[in-house]
Amino acid sequence: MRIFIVTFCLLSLSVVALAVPNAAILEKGKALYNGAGSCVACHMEDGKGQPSSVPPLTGSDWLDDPDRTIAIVLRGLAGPIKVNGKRYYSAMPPQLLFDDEKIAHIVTYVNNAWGNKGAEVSREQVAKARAELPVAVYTPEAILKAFPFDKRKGRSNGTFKPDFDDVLADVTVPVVYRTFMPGASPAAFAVALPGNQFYCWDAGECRLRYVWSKGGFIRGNQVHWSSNGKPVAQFNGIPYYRARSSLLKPEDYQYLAESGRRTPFYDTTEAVDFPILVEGMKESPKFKGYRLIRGYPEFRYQLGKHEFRELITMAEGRKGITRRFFMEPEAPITFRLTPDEAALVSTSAGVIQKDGSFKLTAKQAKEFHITINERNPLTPQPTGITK
Amino acid sequence: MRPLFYFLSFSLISQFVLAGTPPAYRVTKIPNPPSKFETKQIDGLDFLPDGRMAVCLPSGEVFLYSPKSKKWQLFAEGLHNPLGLIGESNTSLIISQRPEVTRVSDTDGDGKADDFEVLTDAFGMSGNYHEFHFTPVKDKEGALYFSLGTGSSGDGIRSIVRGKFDPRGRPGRMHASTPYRGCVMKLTKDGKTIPWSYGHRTPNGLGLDLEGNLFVTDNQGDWVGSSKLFHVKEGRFYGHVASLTWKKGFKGAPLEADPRELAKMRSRAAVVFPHGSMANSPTQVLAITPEAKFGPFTGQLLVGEMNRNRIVRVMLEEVDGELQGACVPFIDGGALARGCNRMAWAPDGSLYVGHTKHTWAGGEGISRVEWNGEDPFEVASMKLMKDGFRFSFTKPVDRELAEDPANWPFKRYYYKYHKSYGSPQTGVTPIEVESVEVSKNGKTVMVRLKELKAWHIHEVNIRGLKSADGTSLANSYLAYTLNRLLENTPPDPLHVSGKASPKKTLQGEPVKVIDPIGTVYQAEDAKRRGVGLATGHSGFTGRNYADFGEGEQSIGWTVESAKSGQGKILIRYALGASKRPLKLIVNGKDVGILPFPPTGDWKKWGDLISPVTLKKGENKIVLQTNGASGGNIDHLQVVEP
Repeated sequence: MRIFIVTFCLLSLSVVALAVPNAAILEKGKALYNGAGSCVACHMEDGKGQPSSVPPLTGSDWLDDPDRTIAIVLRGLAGPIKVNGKRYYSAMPPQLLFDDEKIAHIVTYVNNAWGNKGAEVSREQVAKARAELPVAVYTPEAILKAFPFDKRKGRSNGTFKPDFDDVLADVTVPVVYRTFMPGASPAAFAVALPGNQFYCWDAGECRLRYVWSKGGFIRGNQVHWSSNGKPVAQFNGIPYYRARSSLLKPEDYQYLAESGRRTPFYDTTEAVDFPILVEGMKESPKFKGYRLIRGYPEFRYQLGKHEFRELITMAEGRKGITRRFFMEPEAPITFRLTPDEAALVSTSAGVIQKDGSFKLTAKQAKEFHITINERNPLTPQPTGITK
Repeated sequence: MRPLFYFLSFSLISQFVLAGTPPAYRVTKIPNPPSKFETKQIDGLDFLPDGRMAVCLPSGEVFLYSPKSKKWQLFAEGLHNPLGLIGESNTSLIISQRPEVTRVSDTDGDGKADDFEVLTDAFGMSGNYHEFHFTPVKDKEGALYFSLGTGSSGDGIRSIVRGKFDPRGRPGRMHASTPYRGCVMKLTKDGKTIPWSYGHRTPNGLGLDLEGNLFVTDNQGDWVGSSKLFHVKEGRFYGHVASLTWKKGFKGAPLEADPRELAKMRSRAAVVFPHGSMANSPTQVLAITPEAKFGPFTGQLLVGEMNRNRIVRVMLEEVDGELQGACVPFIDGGALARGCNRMAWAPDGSLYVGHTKHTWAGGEGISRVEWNGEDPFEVASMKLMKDGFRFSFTKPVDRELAEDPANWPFKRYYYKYHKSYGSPQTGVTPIEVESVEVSKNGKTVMVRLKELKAWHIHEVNIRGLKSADGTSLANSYLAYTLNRLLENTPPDPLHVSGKASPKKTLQGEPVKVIDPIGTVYQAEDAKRRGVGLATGHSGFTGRNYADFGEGEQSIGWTVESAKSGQGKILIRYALGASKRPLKLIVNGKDVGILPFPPTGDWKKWGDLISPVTLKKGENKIVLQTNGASGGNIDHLQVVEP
């Protein structure tokens, strides 16, 4: 009981000690914060940051020490940190464009925006820090040594040692792994997009296999990388979109992660589900490789004389993926998508039929895109593909 | 205690006598690349024209290293078990990875690869872990060669396989159920992918000699009595039968064929590495180029060895139209790590060695071997003569020691060609030395033998030889693979054993049914009583392994058998130190006690195979504690229904 009273007193004291910052200063700080290419670019207008890559400023425990905040703004901070119990990986660069006064305005604004109640920071405070702090980007360990947390708060802040699962669970840049994936030929890709959309693309049949968003990327278990390469990758999520595979029966799905079979369900020379039909074209697609565009793989494959490129990025709204197709030389095509209750599928041209197919003219086929969004991220989904 | 002592002292002595890095060679370590996955295994290694070294790791990461600045730089990520690379230019590498031969290039000049071009993927993948895709090499014309490992019965295949599945290639200890597994492949300059030779088991390492002859090694196992080096020629078959599934004109299933017919098709190895004493798992082949600063051995071949810290030297000669010759340990022991897997010459003429292990015996990291310019005292060549062998030495020999016939204990033997794993040395016969003659300059020794026998390995362990200036012979153990005599070579006696074993099955079209045989029954899917699940010790399959505790505990699987009768189950387990027997109960019947000897380390997984009587359909197989705890159980597999 006594402890509670003491805490209460401390809190009320600190509230009393804080003067409400000058409205003009807050206005200046807000303008600087929201300037083109400024803080807003990453931390967003509402100060909520971005999942797993940019920590929030709203209600952040890290803002409890204005000197620490000034230090991070002036010198930058790179490395794994925990903010309000959540893990983030990205790096904050030192803010070299702002003078002492502007940084004072920005920090004061951040300290008091979106319901935050914090200190007003003075130009002198920033100038002192700029003169005295070591000139190097802070590591999490270094910043917390210089500006430790108040241990009595007991919140889960600080740094952590990322393990392999963590590295792959929270994705800040596109990650491309070629590895054994369940429900694909052994020539598979596992790709993670920033914002945590994950997909499996199969080079054995030149097509997208499935997409998932929850439970993290494939488990980057060290066993796989250090072993003889036997393990099939595992992940916890359940695909919300899975492309048609008419050679697999529903009961087959539970076996798709197996590696110990005597016979396969089918081999890729029997595959009949290549989604792009070009009239008169009977060849199987041939995988030609991929290019990384800002880290995103653009797959290329050949169907007869036609070359296709397929670039997959995060869909706008971050609830799915966008597949951008380029066809050269162009020809009329029928594209077969797989209707799925868990996914909302749309296309830039053509009309999607009940069976999931749509037709494009040659002109439309030259460049088109398909968006696959998770229909309702909260609805339970059908049985998954993982074992 | 005493036998152990004898054993130890014997192995110490034999190592002392057999081999050692000559003092003119120094081995140092290169710092490891900063892998995100903390792996230090080096699976591919080559130099770029600008002098930087490129390496690839099991994690799929590719790093570049500047020997000048000693700095590593990440070049590419995400490749699938890359096992070899060629530094094609300062901005592009050709990499053998599981699914393809890929050109990995930095096209925008930012120092990191952004384009991954498939040069060929015209071969199959069953998804079996043992289907390694080994190192590319490039010939003078610009054609590429690469080699495809067979699958292992240590696991099955995946539910979807790439390339045509042929059930004829599926059975066996090592299998080739999709195209060209067990082949050396050629990718011509105009893009055609051709199976170039057949009959390889684990061809972990290709290389060209200075004349452009192509060589490949193979590892001891089924159909491979001891590890070998083959001179690869188009269309030839080198002995391991699985790949015959993909050879045009070969009919039926390789394992059902008459081994005698297979032996007749087989081309012999240029060099056999005696198992246990020379090499157990040979790796890459690298010619000693004129640019290499590596002693008086230009034109000879180096062959890495996985199992120990050794690089073997190979001296070949053409006899009766075919290459054959001798092997001798060279860089051996000391600072060199085990797992000598990939090798390349640095621009300064020193040798860089990448070490790996992939859960087998081996090592980690990168070694650099430099020669100090002084001639070591070594055998420079071993040539077959009409009546014996002529040895050349790098320095004049001590005449008295060399002339003593007792210092040249020769013996001969052969390895059997059969389905079983490896072969004992067979027909071991000491060979009497008739005379020894040292040349005037003291650098050549002619050893005349009472008898030379074709198709036999002729082995000598030269005793106590010194040079005229008193230097001990660094490496005195040599094995010459004598296939052909200078004249009147008798026909190949084949050295084959086994009979044709035709079966009714396995012909015709792929079977598309869920076949329970060979299915892995994971511990985590079993019914467990008291037994916990754990993941603490790496190397297990599936998600967990079963962790036995004290008291009465059990783990039970329901497995399916296609027929009733005698079968075999395999239990994969790990056990640190002492024996922990478990009771085996099949369909409610107490069958007996399985011994479960220790695997030596909780991270080392072994297989215990036990006969069982199964009925058609479902069977309950239970392992129960027998008064004490049990080992860690990974999974159960019905290997012979």
